[in-house]
Amino acid sequence: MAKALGIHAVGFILLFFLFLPSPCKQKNESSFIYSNPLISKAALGSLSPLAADFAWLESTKIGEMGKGGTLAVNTSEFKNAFLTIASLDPSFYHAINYGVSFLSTIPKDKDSAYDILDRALSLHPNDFRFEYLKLIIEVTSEQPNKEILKTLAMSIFAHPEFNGVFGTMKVDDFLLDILAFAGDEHAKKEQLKKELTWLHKNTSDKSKKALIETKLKELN
Amino acid sequence: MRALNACRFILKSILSERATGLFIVLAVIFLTLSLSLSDINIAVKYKLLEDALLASQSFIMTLSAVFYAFLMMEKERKGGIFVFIFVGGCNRGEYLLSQFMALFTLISLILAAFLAVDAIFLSVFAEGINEGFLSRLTLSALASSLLGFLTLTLSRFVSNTNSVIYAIFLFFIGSGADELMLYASEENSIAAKALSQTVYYLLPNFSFFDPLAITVAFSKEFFALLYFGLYGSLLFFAAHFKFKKEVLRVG
Repeated sequence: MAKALGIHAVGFILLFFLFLPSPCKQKNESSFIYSNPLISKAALGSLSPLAADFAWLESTKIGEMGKGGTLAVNTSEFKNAFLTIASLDPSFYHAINYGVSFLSTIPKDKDSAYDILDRALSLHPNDFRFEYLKLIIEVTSEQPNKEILKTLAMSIFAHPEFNGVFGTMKVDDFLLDILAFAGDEHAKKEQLKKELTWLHKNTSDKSKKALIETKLKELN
Repeated sequence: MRALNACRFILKSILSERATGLFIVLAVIFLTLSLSLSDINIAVKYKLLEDALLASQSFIMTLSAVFYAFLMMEKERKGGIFVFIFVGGCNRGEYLLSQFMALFTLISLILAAFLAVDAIFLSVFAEGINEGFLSRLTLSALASSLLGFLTLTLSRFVSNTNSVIYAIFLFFIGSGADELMLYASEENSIAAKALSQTVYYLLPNFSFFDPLAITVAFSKEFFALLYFGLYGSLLFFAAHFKFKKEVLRVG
């Protein structure tokens, strides 16, 4: 028995050092659960959804405790709390939604919101709701990336569980608008050129013709 | 038929232990604690109650799988239970099969009891039992059964106590196999990657029974059932290989 215990002690020590969070990271967090959520999930096993529930109960207080209002909330602490929830229970959509919506709107920290969503998506890849949340964050950001928007809109549309509705909202038209907005720039230019050439042919007004010619030159 | 009779005999023998009463008391305590959380709203109605029920019941099933597997081996090595079974006409293979069957039946009985209690309480305090809850508890029962099989098999190679220690260690490592893999890929460490892949593919991978684990290529429930069948058979044959050469002694 002593031999078996010894083997396991050595095994656990090796694993611990292999996946040990850096001392700096560990110091910043209040407990091991927050400093290393994936290892916490592995150790907790079937208890992890329950731990996520309690982490959520604790995390909602972060916003309330921020001295000087919501804007003074420690973004890093907030991100880690919700990254932990996304790791412990990636199906807990409501908590993840709250966390990423807060991060992307109040401190305008899109990257942190993406980190949480990417973690949730890596553990729960079949949930198109996370992709939709990502799309909303990208659309409402100050400089939306059209390539990301297009990829996300296509992926949501192609998802077998998506039937045009999100929650109680019908969103298929909205997604089509996003696709049109994020559409191929070159194709859009060619279409505009065709339309301007047609207008140029069918316009008799000289000043309008001059204006169209200038636009066509700019496009070329 | 002889294996079935032997299975019934083993089941009666282990259930008559005082520990069974303690497990029932533990289940009642956990149930009461879970119900005390039913009023706390955490954005999703009754999620906390369901998670508390699942966590506590999974824990009890895991604990009973290891404990009863250990008890079976103690009854064999110290109580000589196999003598009664061999007198009944069973051979070694049938005796081993009856041990595996008794453990699986026991976990199935516990699962059925939990499902019946949960159906009543969730109907009264929440909106009834849902498909996700049913699937998670069933997968947890399969994982517990596999853990019990692992304990039984390991005890053929090492002592009863050591088999429990090894099985629990493998259970912890196997439950976190998918997280280790993801963590290693995020860390970009070659040693961590190699270790996580070894754990994922070679050791019993209990993360396949976790509904929140990374999805496999096809239906999660079907895959878990298939894996349980295959790994369970593998463990049975490994135990049989060792058991057929074993010199049986009592005490």
